[in-house]
Amino acid sequence: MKPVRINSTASARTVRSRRPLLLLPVIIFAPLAGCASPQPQPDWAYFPADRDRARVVHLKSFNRLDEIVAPAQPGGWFGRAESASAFVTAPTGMTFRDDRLYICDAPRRRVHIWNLKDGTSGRIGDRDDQPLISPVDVELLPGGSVAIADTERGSIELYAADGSHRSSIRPPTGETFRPVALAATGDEILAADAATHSVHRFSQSGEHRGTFGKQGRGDGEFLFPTGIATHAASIWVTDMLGGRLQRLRKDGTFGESVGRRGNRYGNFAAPRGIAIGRNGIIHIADAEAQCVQLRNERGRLLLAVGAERPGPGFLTLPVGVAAIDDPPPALSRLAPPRFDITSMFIVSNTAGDDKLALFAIGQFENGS
Amino acid sequence: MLAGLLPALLTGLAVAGLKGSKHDFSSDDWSDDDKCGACHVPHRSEEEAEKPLWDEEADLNRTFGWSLEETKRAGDGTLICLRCHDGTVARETIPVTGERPTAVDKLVTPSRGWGHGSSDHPVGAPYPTGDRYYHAPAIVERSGEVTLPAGNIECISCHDPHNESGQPYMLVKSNYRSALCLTCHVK
Repeated sequence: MKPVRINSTASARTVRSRRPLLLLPVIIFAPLAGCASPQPQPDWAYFPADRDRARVVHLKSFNRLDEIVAPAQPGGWFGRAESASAFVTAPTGMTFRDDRLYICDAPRRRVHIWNLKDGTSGRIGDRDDQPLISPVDVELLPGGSVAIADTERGSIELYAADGSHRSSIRPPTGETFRPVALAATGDEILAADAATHSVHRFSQSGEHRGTFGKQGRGDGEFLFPTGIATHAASIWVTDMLGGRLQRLRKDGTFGESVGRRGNRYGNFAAPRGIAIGRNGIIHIADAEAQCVQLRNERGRLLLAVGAERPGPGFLTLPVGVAAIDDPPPALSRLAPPRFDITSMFIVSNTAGDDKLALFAIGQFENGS
Repeated sequence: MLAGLLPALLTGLAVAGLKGSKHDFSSDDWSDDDKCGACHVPHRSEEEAEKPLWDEEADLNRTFGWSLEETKRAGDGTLICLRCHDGTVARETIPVTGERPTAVDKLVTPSRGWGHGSSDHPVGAPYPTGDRYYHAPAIVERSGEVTLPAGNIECISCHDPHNESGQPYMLVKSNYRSALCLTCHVK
């Protein structure tokens, strides 16, 4: 059979003549590739620093909701609507529940409410008829109502689930009351008072049920209690100038003292906000040590988290912390591949460029 | 003559030094007569560190926080104050009167200053240079009373936490007839 001769010369000539055309798309689009938006580099920082042993990862630091979740229409479902681009100025106390992060922002006299799942947002506190002055901590109560500690007003402001202001709570004695931290337990509101160095107990209807603690360095005494949280049958209080954490029983009697004031690993320099996750991990923000200490439910130190120098994971005057037990997908997506998340926490920095810092607790899958 | 003596007389009546100042906690029962401990964290030895359960290789030599030597570094001269003077621990706070933008501030808030007293005055912000409304830094710092750590305005630029000058509000110098303000601001 006579071989079919492909007009190789013609073909080769055709291919050669087409080569410049084949390269044309490459020539056109290659420069444009340099103009395309670069993929944002993750701000991961590992604690401990060895990635293989990492138990905590800094995921992202941010100031606005839309840096985390795609912008959505202002919620308006609680209090007043807030633009998703609203930023925090000097966040302090925070709490997280049902996908919503509540952030006290005293300079702006409001509490931001950011839904980290659907990107909606709202705010409380700057209504003309009942404006907040210096909201520094927030706690959620059963039924969806909100308690806010206002140090300048000297009261706890209660808001109903629909965002309407319900009442103001103060001790009946008329003495100076400066609530700086709140915790809810059962049907009670516990308020750490920086004026009297004690903890007040209120019912959710505002009835004052007594106090425990006083100024001092002894067991059950405080030097500026600045954080309070409950877990199981214990009340944990950060004792700022005492440089320690104190565990009290449900009735307010002294249980144990944890830590000492100092500048070494595991010491407390200026412990402020505290949050306890469902897993029992205690998170304590230390404003001067510029770290968050993680301790187990017996108070044993797990890790101190915070970069040593500016960069990912660096905290500047951290004063508030919120535990996130069930992180929504928008947060989980920020984690490194194969990092098995058990919980998250978010830290408020009152100074520095990035006011909120998000961390994940967990471990890399074996062999990752 | 008497008018000229008046500021000197008023200064002389003020109590200089930490003792007797608003930062003197030594007479409080809880202080254990420790004059420094309220503001300065005691230095501990390595033996007093606590080993973390999640990091067996943790550097227990590491120290945390701001040291005495570093308080004049940019930022620390404000941060150490804000640790208490943020409306929680210290009653004398630095309230903000609203959202009026102030000088660019890289430390306290992005593009917003931290209000001061009844007016907004930035802290933790770069001192303006080459601006005809502000004296040059060399002139500001000439007397040694007002400092601009690393070219920034910090709390310690105007306030002396140790009250060495004995001025009201623990200022670094008298503000009689706005003398302190005019150290920086050109009238």
